[in-house]
Amino acid sequence: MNDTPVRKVIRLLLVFYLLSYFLFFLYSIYRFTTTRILSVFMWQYLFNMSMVLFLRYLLPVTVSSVMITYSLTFKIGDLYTKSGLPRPFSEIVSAPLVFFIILTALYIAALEGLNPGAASKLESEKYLSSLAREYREEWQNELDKKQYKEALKYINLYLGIDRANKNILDKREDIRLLALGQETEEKKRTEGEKTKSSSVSLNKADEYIREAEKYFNTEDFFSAHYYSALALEIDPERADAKEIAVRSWEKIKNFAASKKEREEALFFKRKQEGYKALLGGEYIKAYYIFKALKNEKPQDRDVSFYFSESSKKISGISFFLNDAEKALTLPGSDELFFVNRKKGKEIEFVFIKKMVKTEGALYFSGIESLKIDKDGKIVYFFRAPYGKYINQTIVTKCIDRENENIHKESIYIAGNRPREERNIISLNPSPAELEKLHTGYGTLNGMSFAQLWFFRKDFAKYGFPLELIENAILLKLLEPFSFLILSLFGILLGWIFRIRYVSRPPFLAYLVIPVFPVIVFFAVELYTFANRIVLGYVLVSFGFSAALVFLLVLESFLLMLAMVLLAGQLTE
Amino acid sequence: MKKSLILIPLILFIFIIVVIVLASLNILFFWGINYSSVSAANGSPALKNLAYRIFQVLAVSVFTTIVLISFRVLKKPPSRFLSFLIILTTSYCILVLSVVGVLKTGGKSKPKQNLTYKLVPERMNSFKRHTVFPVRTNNGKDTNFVILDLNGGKGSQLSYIRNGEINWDNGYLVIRDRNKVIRAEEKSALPIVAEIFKKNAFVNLFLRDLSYFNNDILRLYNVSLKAFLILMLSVIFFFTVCGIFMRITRWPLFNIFLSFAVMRGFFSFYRWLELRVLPQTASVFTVHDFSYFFPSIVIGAVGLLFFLIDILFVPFNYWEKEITG
Repeated sequence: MNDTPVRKVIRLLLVFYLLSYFLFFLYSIYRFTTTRILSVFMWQYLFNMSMVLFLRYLLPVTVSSVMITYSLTFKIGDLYTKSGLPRPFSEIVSAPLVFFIILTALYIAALEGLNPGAASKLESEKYLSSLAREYREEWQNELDKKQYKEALKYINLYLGIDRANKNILDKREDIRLLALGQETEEKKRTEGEKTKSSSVSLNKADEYIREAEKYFNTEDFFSAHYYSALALEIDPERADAKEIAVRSWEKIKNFAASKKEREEALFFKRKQEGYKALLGGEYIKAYYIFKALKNEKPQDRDVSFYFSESSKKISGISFFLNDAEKALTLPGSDELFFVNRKKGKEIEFVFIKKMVKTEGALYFSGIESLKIDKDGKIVYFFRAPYGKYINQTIVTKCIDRENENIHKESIYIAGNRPREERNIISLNPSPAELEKLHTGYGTLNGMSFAQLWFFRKDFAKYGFPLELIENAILLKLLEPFSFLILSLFGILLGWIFRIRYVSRPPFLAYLVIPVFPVIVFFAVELYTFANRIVLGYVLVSFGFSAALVFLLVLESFLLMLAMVLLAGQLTE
Repeated sequence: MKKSLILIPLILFIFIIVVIVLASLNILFFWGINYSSVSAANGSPALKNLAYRIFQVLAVSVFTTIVLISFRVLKKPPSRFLSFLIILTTSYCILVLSVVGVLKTGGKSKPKQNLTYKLVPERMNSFKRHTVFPVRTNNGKDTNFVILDLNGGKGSQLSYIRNGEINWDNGYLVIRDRNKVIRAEEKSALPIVAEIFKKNAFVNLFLRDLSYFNNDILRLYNVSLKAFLILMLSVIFFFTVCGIFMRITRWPLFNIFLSFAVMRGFFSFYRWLELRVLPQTASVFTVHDFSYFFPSIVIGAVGLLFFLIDILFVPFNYWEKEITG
C-alpha cells in the first residue's frame, strides 16, 4: 500500500480546501463593488471575505471531502494485503482518526484566532469605506460653500483612509493652495498663542511662580496673576504666590482706571471679565468673551492665550455642537439600550439613538436617561439631543463655536439633579462594550469564546438576558464536537457507501462531487439546529451548568457512537 | 418472500424511531419558541397541542422511513415487485392511519396562539419595535415597566409605567396605567428565550415548505376525505418509486445524497405547484374540485414517469454490478 489512508485524506482535503477558498474568492470578487468598498481595500476585502466564508463553511467542506475520500479513493488493492487477506479496517481508519483530532484543534484555533480578526477587518473595511464616502461628500459640500480650510480638513481625513489615491492627492494640492492664505493668516494669529502654550507645561508651583514673576516684571499683569493663581492651586499656603497675585490684581484694576480712551477701556474691561470668568470656573462664558475679543484683536497676546486656555477648560465639560452634528452624519451604531447602573433597587437606564466614532472622539445623539428609586419613583428622566464621550462620561452640554446663544443640553422631563451633574451621565460600559448593547438582545455575533466568556456577567449587568450569552457559549463549545463527530460520521458513511469499482470510477462521478458540500451543508445545518433545540431546552429549564454537563454527555455519546460504528466496519 | 415480508416490521420500527426523534425535537422547539416563558396559569400548553406537533412530523417521518428502508432493499435485495408493493402499501397505511388517528385525537386544526407570556423581571424583554423592562421594586412586585418604543418618533422613546396592568390581547402585549396604554404592535411578540431557538435560513426554508405541505394535508382532510386519501397515495407512490435514485448510479453515496435531495426538493416542488402552477391551471380547467386533486395528479404522473424509467432502464441489481461482475 503505497498511499496511506492519511495521505489520501490529506490530499483530498487540501484539494477541497483550496477549491472552496478559490470559489469563495470568486464569490467575493462577484460581491465586490467600489460603491460599497473603496478600491484601496479591494485585496484585503477579497482575502478577508473569502477567509470568513471559508471558515464558515469549513465543516461541510471537510465532511464532504472525508466522505468522498472513503467512498471513492480506496481501490481493491488498498484493502487487501499482498497475500490476499483483507486488511483490518482499524488500519485504514486509526491514523486518520488521530489526524482528525489534530485537525479539530486546528479548526478551533482558526475559528477563534483567524475568524474574529478577519470578520472585524471586514467590518472595519466596510466602515472605513462608508466613512470615506461621507468625507468625500463633506469636502465637496465645503468646496461648494468655498470653505477651503474645511474642505482641506475633510480631504485630509479622506486621505487618512485612502492614502495613495493619486487623483485625490492632486485634488488636495489644489484645495491646499486655495486655503493657503487663510491658513497663513491663522498661523500668524496662533503664533503668540503657541509661545504661551508651551510654557503651560510647567507644572510645579515654583515654576509657576517664576513665570508669574517674569510676567509681572514685563508688566503682563494678567499672565502674572494667572500663573500665581495656578501656583496657589498647587500650594494655597505659598506667601510669594499670594503676594504676586494681590499685586498684579491691583495693577490690573489701576491700569483699567488709568485708560482714557473709551474703546480701549471697554476692551480691557471685557478682558478682565473674561479673566474673572476663567478663574471663577465659568469656562463657557470665558470662552465666548475671549472668542469675541480674539475676533476683534487677533494680535492681542493675552486674548490668544486665554482663549486657548478657556477652550481647553471647556473641552472637559462641553463640546462643540458643530463637531457633533458633522460627526453624527457618519455611519455608526444605532439604538443602544442598557441598564447603566444598579445600586440595590435603584436603577438607571440609558438609551442612545446613534453612536459614531470619529478619529479620537465618540459622539452620541438622541440620548435619554431614566433613573428609578427603590420605591419605583422616578429620580430623574431627561433627554439630550447630543453627547460626547469624555473621561468615562457622556457629556450632554454642547455649545456653538461662534454663537453664544446657541447651545443644547439635557432637558429634564421629570425630577432633577445637582447643577454640576445635570449634563453628565457616568457610563458603566466601555465604548467597546457599548457597541454590543443593541436593542433586540444585543449583538454577540463575531465574538470569540474567550470574549463571550468574559462578557458574560457584564452582559447580564447591563440588563440583557443571561441565557442568550450562555447559549452563544454553548454553541461555541459545540463547534469542536460537531467537527470531530461529523467528520467521523463522514468516514463511516463514505466507507459504507463506497464505490466498488475494480478500475477507476467513471468520469461522471467526479462531475457530481461539487454537489456534495451543498447537501452536506444542509445536513450540518439540521444537525446543528437539532443540537440547538435540545441544548436550549436544558439551558432554559435547568440552567447553564446543567446544559454544560448535558452538552458534554450528549457529545461524548455521539462521539462514542461514531467510534463504535466505525470500529464495526469491515474491509471485505 | 421472507426477505420481502421482513420489510413490514422493519418499516414500522424505523417509522416509530423516526417519529419519536422528530416529534421530540418538534415539541422541544415549539416549547422553546412559544411556551418557555408562558405564565404558569396556562398549565402545560406544549403538551396540550401534542397531537398537532406529532401530526407535523408524520409525513416527513414516513418519507424518511421509505428512504431508509431502501438501504435495506439495496443491501439485501428481496423480490423487486413484492418489496415495492410492500413498501407502498405499508407506508400508505402507516401514513393514512397515523394522520387520521392523530387528527382525531385533537390535532384537527392548527392551534390558535392565544398565550399569556410571562415577562422576565429585571431583564430586557425585546419585541420587534419595543423593549419592555419590568422593574422590581422594594415591595417585590413587577408592576412597573420601563418601555422603549422605537416607533416613538421625535419625542421620547423611553417611557415609564408605574403600577401598570399587563395583558396579552391575541398575541399583542398591552401595558396600561391610568394615563397611557402601550401596545406592542407586532404579532411576533416572543418571550426572551425564543431567541435561543431561532432557526437559521436554510432550516427555516425547509420548515416553511414542510409546514405548507402539512397544512395542505390538514385542509384536504377537513374538506374532502377522498382528495386527502388520493394525495396520500400519490405522494407515497412517488416516494416509493424514488427508490430508483438509490440505484441510479453505481456510486451508493451519491445515490443516497440524491435521494435525500429529492426528498427535500419534493416539499419545495409541492409548494411551487400549489402557489404558482395551480392558480394558472385552475383558470384553464373548470372541473369541479380541480384544485383538490391537482397536486395528486401531478405528483402521481411524475411518480409514474420515474416508475417507467426504473422498469425500462435501471436493472434492479445495477448497483451491485461491480461487485458481482
